[in-house]
Amino acid sequence: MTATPVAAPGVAVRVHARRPAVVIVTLSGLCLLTAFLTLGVGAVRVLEPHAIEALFGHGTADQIRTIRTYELPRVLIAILVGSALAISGGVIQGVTRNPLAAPDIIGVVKGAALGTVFLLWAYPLAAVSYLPVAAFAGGIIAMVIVYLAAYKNGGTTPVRLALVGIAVSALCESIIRYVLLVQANGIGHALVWLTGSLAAIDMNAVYQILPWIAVILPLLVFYAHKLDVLGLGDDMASGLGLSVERTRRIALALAVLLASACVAVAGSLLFIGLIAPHMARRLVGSRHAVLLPTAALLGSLMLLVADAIGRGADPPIELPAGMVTAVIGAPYFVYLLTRSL
Amino acid sequence: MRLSASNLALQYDELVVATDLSIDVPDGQISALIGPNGSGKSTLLRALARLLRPKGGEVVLDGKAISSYTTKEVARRLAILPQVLISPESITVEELVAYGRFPQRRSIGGMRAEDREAINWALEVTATSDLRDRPVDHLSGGQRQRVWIALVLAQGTDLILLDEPTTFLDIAYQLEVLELLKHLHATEGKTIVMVLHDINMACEYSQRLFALRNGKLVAQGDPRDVLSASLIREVFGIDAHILEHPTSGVPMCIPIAAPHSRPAEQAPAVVPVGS
Amino acid sequence: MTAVPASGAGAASAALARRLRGPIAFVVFTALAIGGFIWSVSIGPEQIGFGALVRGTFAQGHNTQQLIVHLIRLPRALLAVLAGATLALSGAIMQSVTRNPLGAPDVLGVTSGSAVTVALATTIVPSLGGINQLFLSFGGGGIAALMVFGIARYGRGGLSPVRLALAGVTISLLLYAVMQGVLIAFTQNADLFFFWLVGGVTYARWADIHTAYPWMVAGIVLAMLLARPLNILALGDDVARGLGQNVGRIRFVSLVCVVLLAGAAVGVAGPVAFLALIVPNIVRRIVGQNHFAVLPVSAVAGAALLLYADILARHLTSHTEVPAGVVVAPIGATLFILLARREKIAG
Repeated sequence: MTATPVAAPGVAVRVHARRPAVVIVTLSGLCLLTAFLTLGVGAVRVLEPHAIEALFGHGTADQIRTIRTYELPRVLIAILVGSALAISGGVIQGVTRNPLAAPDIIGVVKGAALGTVFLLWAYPLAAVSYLPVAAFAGGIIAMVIVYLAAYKNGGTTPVRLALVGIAVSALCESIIRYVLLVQANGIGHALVWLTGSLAAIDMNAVYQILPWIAVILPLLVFYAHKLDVLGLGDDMASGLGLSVERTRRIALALAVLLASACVAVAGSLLFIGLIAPHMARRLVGSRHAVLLPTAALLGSLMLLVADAIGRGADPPIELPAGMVTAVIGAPYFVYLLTRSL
Repeated sequence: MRLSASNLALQYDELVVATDLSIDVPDGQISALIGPNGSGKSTLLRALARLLRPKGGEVVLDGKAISSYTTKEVARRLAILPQVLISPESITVEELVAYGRFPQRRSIGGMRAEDREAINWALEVTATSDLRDRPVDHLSGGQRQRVWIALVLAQGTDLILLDEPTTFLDIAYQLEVLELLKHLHATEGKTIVMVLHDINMACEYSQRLFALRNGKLVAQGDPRDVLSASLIREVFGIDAHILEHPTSGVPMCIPIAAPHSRPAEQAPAVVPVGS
Repeated sequence: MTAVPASGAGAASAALARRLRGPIAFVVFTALAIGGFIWSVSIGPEQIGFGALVRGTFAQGHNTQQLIVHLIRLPRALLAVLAGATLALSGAIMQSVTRNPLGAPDVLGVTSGSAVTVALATTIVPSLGGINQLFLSFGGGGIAALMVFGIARYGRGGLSPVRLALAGVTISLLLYAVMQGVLIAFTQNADLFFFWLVGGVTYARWADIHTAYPWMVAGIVLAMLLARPLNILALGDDVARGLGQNVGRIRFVSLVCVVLLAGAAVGVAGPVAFLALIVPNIVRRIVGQNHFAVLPVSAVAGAALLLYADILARHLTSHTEVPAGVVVAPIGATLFILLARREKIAG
């Protein structure tokens, strides 16, 4: 895919994107490395290489238990949720043809959060296992509302989707605040969860999210090329034989399902869905077949690091990963915007 | 005749563009749609390309209503170059042209020999073969337009529709593009329909002219027969001299500036939705 | 817009009707605002007679009822008027400056900047209050505004309305996320903040009004002075320059005005979502684009809206106070969605 720089009179040529295969392999390696390295970080510090040993069953009973019950699931979730959010963001950006779109803004994340808040409001003693269901339902309902509200004359446009998404998102936010007001207890707990955290993760969470990823990811591979065509503009895509509205709808649905599943498991982790695809695009270009995997790897990395920072910055206090991603993601986002919109 | 439309009623939301428009596109010829802003020429083209669903009437392609085909089937018979063209970042010419094979290709699977052939041919015919590895954003206006035409050609259809293919190009590039289309018609027998702003280019490069005003077809036929001062006055509301092009003999129109008169505004009829 | 008939009496009366839209709307909304004000002052858990209402309005007195009116209800209603007016004005100006119907301080992150700065500062330093809180509000709003504008101006894609809106929303999200993180560490104050963050005038005090009032008035005066320059600016940068206007300076002054207005409102009433976005849009549909009409009418319409929203909010739940923002948000969001469906906003 690389092109040798062609010198043409008066035209400065940028070197083409690096070979995507190289990027992907490098990132995968980095990801694995980070995963192992962060295994031992946390309130109960387990130093490397003991952490890795404990993973495989060697070491004190305490160490093994810490690693296997607490750290391993978190690392796994970080990888899974990070990838899923990044892919979801990439797809939404492709569908809305807007590099600023993301699950956070388009209504899914806030809708999912709202679902959970509603559940806690109606049934304050609801079992923890019901929270993900509520989040899931909330995210999907929010997106359905966004889609319907943006639907006009037989179709949606990227602009309307983005705008309506903003409105619905803000609306959910207001309702969340209202509910938190009326239901005074448990605000702290809800706050933490809303910001997005991997604190209460166990292997169940992994099993909860795995089927979604396993099913949706292959479907999205299938859609990758269609998303590319969609990027040529609605008219051109239609002229080339793509059912524009149907593709948009299905791709959005898949992205929303992914994002909702993530919020259900880990709360609203902002910015990963926005930034990971951005960075991926600068590394490997906008062909979705390579963009999405690259974004996934970057998303995993981001979440792994954010969670590790949250755990290790000031033990035993745990900063929610969502806040770390926001604090780090924010300046980077600003930088991105000033460079190229 | 492969492509025709009868009694089309076209509107965008509440803005009615046409109420009873019929057109027969002649096979194997270059047709040009001309008319002032808001006359409905682009709207008509989009309806013909199935980009816009008519509120009434129907478009017929190869004997069947165009709405009865799937989008892909339409794409295998008819290609359109719309006005809004978005090229993905840092994509090479060859990659962009390859998109033209989308309707022919299966969802998963690499390129077949016939795909490569079509792409190579398209590049050759548009004289962009030596640009194939260049990023599209680094091309000049005329080159870029030729690359988009190559994309459309790679689709391999005999029917090609173009919505204002020359509007934002400077004059050298305009000629470049139109000469290319003329060449395609002469050597490959393509049926071409294009919306043009420039009346003289339209006359020079087409065999059939369709003049629209206010969503009505005011005149159609060979430019030599159809272009007249009264037509220009009726369609555009201005006075003009009609001369013969010194080289080709095709009629040309030169507007006469009138100090007092202003072109009568075309007021679009606003029909409340639902009435 | 309806086509103007070519000639005859029809044309004259149509033109007259158009010119009167502004004044008529102003009168109508002012009447609504006054009605809302009276209504707001007269309702509450305590039943207070008309005489006490009137007396309480003008003097503190010693009567309990008068005290209630004077110390609780009156500031509340007054603040609603002020905050509603200034927010709506700031939205109107910002939309004109960005030539973007979506360009409101809340959408563009200005109110978030103010809100977050105030929230963070008062969490960390609870004794902060009064004028310092206000300055923080200005500062935070100003910085956020600069950020969004800088981003929008230098981005390659240019200032398309949607991109500007998305940039602003993201910056808002960003700021709120940081704030939530900090709040988590100081959870004991969180309840109050959530209340304040929704935006409302529930706990209005005279002290707030005294602090904010001069700045609000300054902002309103400045806004009215901007009416003519904004009219010219609306013709396009190049045309405006050709007519001798210093476009850069007008933009800067307008931005200062927006920060002043929005910052003051947020400083005392919290970030009421959507008000600054919706009111000017609706007003423009009624009175047209002339700023000599749009600005005053937006101000009184905003005042009226917040008054009635507050009244409605007070009736929502019987046992808790609910901030007015709760009412404004759904209305605003719905109207915004309708806007997004209709307008042909170039993307």
